[in-house]
Amino acid sequence: MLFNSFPYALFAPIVFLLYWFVFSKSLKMQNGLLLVSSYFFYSCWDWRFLFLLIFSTGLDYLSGMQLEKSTNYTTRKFWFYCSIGINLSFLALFKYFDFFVLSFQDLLFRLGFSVDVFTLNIILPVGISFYTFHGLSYVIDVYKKRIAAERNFVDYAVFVSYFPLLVAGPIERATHLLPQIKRKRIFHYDQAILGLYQILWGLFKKIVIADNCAQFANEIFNSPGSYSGSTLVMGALFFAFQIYGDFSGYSDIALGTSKLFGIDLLKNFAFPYFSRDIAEFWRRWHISLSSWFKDYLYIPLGGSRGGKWLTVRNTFILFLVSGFWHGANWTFFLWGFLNALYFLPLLLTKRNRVNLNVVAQNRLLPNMKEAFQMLSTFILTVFAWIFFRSDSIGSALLYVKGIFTKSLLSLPEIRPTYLVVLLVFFIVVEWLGREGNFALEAFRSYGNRYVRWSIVVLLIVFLFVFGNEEQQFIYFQF
Amino acid sequence: MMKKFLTTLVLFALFFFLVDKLFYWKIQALPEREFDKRLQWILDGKMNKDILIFGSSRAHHNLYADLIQDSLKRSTYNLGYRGSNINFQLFLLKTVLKHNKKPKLILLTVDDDREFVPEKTLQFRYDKLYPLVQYQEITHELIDQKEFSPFAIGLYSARIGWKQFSQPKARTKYDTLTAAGSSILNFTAADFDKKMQPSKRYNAKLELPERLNAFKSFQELCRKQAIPLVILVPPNCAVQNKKFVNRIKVLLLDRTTMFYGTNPSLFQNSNLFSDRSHLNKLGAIAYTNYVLKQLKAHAVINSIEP
Repeated sequence: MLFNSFPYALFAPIVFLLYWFVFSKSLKMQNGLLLVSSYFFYSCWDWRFLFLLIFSTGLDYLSGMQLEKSTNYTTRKFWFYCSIGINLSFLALFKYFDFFVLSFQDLLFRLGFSVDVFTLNIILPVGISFYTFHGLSYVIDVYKKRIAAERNFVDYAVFVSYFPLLVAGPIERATHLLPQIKRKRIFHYDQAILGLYQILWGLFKKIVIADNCAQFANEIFNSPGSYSGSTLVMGALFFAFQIYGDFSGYSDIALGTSKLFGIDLLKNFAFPYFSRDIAEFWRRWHISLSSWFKDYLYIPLGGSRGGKWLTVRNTFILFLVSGFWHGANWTFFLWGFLNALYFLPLLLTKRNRVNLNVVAQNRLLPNMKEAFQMLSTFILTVFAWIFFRSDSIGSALLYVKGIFTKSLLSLPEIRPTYLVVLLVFFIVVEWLGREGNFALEAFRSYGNRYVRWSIVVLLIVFLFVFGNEEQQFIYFQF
Repeated sequence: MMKKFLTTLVLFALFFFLVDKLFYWKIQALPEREFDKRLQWILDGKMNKDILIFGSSRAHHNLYADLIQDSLKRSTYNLGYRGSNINFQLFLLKTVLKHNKKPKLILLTVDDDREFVPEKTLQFRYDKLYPLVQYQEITHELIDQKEFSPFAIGLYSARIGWKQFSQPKARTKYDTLTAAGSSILNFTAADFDKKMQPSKRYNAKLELPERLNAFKSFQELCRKQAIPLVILVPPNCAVQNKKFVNRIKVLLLDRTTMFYGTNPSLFQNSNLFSDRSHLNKLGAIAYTNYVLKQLKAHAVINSIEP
């Protein structure tokens, strides 16, 4: 069930009404409803993988209880490694097994050996990277005694499987979400209205921006050899907006939906394309994943405490693992590597924490320096996206080679005027709303109600008029 | 709090519903932009002909319906659509039967050798349906085909794409129809290589089940309605693919279906073609006369009352 589908448009209101009108008397009942609806939501995609989700949830719940109960060092270690090991094994099996086996076969072939290998050829359970990370962070936190183990299975299961974040995040932390699940929720009118605005903006990003960009990006990336350099640049730009619209749109719908249920989820995007350097970009892009890796990988590795070279090593590990988290392909690895390279000069000159505020705060326009910084960061990011989007490193290199030809200065063969107009509109709205949690947040308290409503109606009409066929969210594959 | 929220939602829904109704006028005006009104005539019940021709551009350009009409003295109309696949042709047949008098004979052309295999140039022509969303059944068809969201049932704005707001369509050289609905090509394509192409190997494994099912359903519908069906494989500027012709024979459900798959050697003359896949006016006349000769020799044709 996609967020941008008709079944979800029925599902969410039904759960909302049951939640606030039928089950509102009891917190237990509300949580039970959230769990049942989350499992239903997940099984609409493929019910067979629901058992994997329940198993993973049960394992982490049990591990958490045992970790808390036991004072014996060996027993604690056993449960800790048991949970981490099994969770990571599932991830490795479903996501990386075929990739590593085929890469090994390819390596042997290049060395002159030909071997037949066994591959699983199974589909990737949707959301596995997300719910596995929920479970991992919980078990690590309980093991490190940062939090107490959750005793109520339903509450814990809701934390892992809560439907707005189940398949594509944001990656929540037990410290943030579990207390909200255990607390009685109260309906807030303003929060609910804000939630609806966020859902609308998320749908706009996904349906109008991402899906329309996808048409052209796919066409260009599928045959890079047939297009001029300028068209390839257009293709990369379209993909940059596609992936941003797609993923941040999903996050907005997730956060907005959750607001309707009185639960706040972690912010996942903060206008990353307005970043002034790559460090700022990574503080604004997929925030819940970046902070997860920082807390559970970068800091345990020593973070920046072990001197310059150890910091560089840890930074590279962070980016490479983050790249691989996105998918089993060397293109993601290279994408992570490129970002680490971009990050390196900032790290070495200790300028990676310079731009911590919002660009052009309390001003309408950026100054020349900020504009140049934003543009250069955007160009670097778009260049890295080429590797992210390409099917193989070979085709990515072909794409890059195709850009730097004489035809770079020619007029692009693909020039969808309507899409350029939409993108300009989108960038302007995002720029004006960059100081809020999402672009339309400030708009909530803007002017006359009927003017606001007219603009909302216009956005809804845009969803229909520019909506193409229902398209899968990119991040479901991760 | 909740009461206020629900009230706001209801008021907004009402406001949206009213604004949405403004799209009614746009939807009513959409058919006016079209040069080809054949589908609209079908929906309006104005396609009451004795003989109907279905198929892709190979039907539309290669069969001169006016000639058939004059020769057989039976009202004839060409419902061939450029770039349409068998699923679209089946949809047309169903729509014709729903709104019009049953035809007495149907001619269906099949595309040598791309009729059933994945082929970009043969599609379900949704673009022919979009301008006619004022008809509920067209909207339902587009919802069934997942081109529209189910919201389109109740919302006018969900029935319009941005392309419908763009400039009026420009007339192309294919938009001129004869009185009986054919489009006869009076030109030779600039990139037409007149060398006869050898036939390609036909691989039945590539056939799409939905295409095969549609072909089967088309035949079943004709049989159920007791409409004699003639299946034709119009010539290409290429050696005819015998395996494809044999494959069609295998796929025929009924022995009484008239099948003319093998074309006379006359059509190995590239001067009869406008491009690799379509005959020019001279070729269309020659091919239509060839088809007429076959039809006249058949007892079923003579039994059709004018």
